[in-house]
Amino acid sequence: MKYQLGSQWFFYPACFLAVATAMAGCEKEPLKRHYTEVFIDAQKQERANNDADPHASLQQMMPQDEIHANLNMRDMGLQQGLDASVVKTPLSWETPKEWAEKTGSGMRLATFVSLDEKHPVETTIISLGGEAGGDAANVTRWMRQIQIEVPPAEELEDFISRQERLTSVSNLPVLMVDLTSFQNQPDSPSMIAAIIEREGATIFVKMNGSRQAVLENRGRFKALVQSIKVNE
Amino acid sequence: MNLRQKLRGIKLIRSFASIKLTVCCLLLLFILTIWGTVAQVHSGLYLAQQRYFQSFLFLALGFIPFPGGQSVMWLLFVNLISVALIRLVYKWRHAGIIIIHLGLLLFLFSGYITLRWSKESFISLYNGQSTNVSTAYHDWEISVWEKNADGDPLKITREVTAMDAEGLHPGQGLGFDGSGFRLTVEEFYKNCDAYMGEGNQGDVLNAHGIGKLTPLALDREPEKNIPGGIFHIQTKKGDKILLYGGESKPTAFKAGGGEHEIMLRLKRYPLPITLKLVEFMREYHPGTDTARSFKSRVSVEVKEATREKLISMNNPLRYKDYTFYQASFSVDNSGRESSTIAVVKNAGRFLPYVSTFVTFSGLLINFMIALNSRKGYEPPFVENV
Repeated sequence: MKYQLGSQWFFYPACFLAVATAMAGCEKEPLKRHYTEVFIDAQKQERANNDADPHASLQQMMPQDEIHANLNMRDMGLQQGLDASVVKTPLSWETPKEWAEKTGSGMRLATFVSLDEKHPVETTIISLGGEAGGDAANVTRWMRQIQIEVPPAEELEDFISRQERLTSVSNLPVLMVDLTSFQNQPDSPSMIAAIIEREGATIFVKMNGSRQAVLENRGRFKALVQSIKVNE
Repeated sequence: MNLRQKLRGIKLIRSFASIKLTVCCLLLLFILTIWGTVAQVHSGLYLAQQRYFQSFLFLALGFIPFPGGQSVMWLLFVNLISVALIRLVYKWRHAGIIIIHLGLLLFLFSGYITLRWSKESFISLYNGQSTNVSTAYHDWEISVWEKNADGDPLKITREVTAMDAEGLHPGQGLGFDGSGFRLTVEEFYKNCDAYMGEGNQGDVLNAHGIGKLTPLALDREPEKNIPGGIFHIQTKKGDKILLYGGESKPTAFKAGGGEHEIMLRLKRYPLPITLKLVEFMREYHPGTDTARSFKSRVSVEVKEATREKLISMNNPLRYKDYTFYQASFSVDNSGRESSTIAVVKNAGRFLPYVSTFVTFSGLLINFMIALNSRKGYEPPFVENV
């Protein structure tokens, strides 16, 4: 018996589309909800007391670097932990004119982006408790982040000793670490960082971008670092 | 003419009971399963689920309407109901087929219950912290409460009025009439960056000094999208408030004769219990820093009665429709550990087990009947309907 296409073969696609379109067109109104929210932190005072002790952060279970600031901050447990580890230094600074300041989050007190879209740089300010690993450890980690071969310990110490040292407006000692000298290509990912030491905390300021962009913004970076002030 | 014969006379029901529709639906489910599985590599699990399995319709290749998983499963459900109404032969020798049919209907029903009413969220607590709400993974709300100037910093109790931030668009009004004010959405972005200082909107109220939002493309991982918006408060003064999902504290403002705090934050779901993390415990594999197991000793308060319970990786806490699983943990710089507990609310969590049992029973009964049958084959369906 010959199978004849009747009107039925239109039926199924029409059915699908009709049901689907009708349901897809239903727009939800915002729901209004009422609830009582209770949050108790019985040990908050104890934690606040411990944070005042600069030695409380010496036992470090996570690397003291801003790599972890890039972790998914929607893990609220992680965010709470990272927020608690940050020493809430009351800092202020002057944003360079050609940079825009984004809101800080988690470990980052501030993030700046350059307005130059052709040669963009991103700069972050992080404050961590204690010595935060030491200069050599931090410089080593930064070199690895931008794929620079880490020199032997003696050469590394020599490199660090030759870096520029200055003071901020609130007389905090600043070590500028310029890694652009290790690279030749203008497009190589590069970095200039600053380590600012204060009592009980270390402030890291780090600028990332291509070598060319980083060198073009070196002056603005230095101005930002020197403007950092502790508001006691 | 009995009822079944009358129903067989209705062309629409005959069409819905067609075996061709069943085959069509199964074929579409097969295509959607493969398509969605492959798509999640690029789109991410959440977006692939929403587009291919939870939607009614989506545009394939950008312009071809294609039925989504919900449409297909609804049609399959209607198809099975129609078959049950006019085509199944209700005799004892076909009991197995009828029970299998019922099991399939239960499967689809349980899927709908889970889709429509189940909620997943989480709680993250340090030792000694308690809460009675869980937090959504990537749904947002605008929450408002009265500012309590003399509040105890160790205990926060708020009466919150919240509205879902899903689908907000410019011009939309949000009525917090109980608090005496309304908001109008001026700008809203599902994902954006926030910048300090003065922005295009002039002075806006914001707890962190954010003045400008710039929209960003949606990330395929929904938890990376941080929304933000600017809202006009409908008062004589007509303040504007900027809310950004990445903020850690609320913005205070005056309206309706009182002082309020408002925040754009991940949605909170009230729980029927207050959960306190008494102690988080972690064991390592010997000689390594890899966690072998971790568990949370919690205190569960229900109507002023408290009991302690241990939540570990294969030992969740169950209370009414809620299940609390030990999901993860984190360690801060000073070694303090916090525990993250996944919370699943699913009223229909037993239905898949019931469906499986029913379908398996039908199969077993059908095979037993077939093995013991002395009569010839008799089809379980009415043909040529």
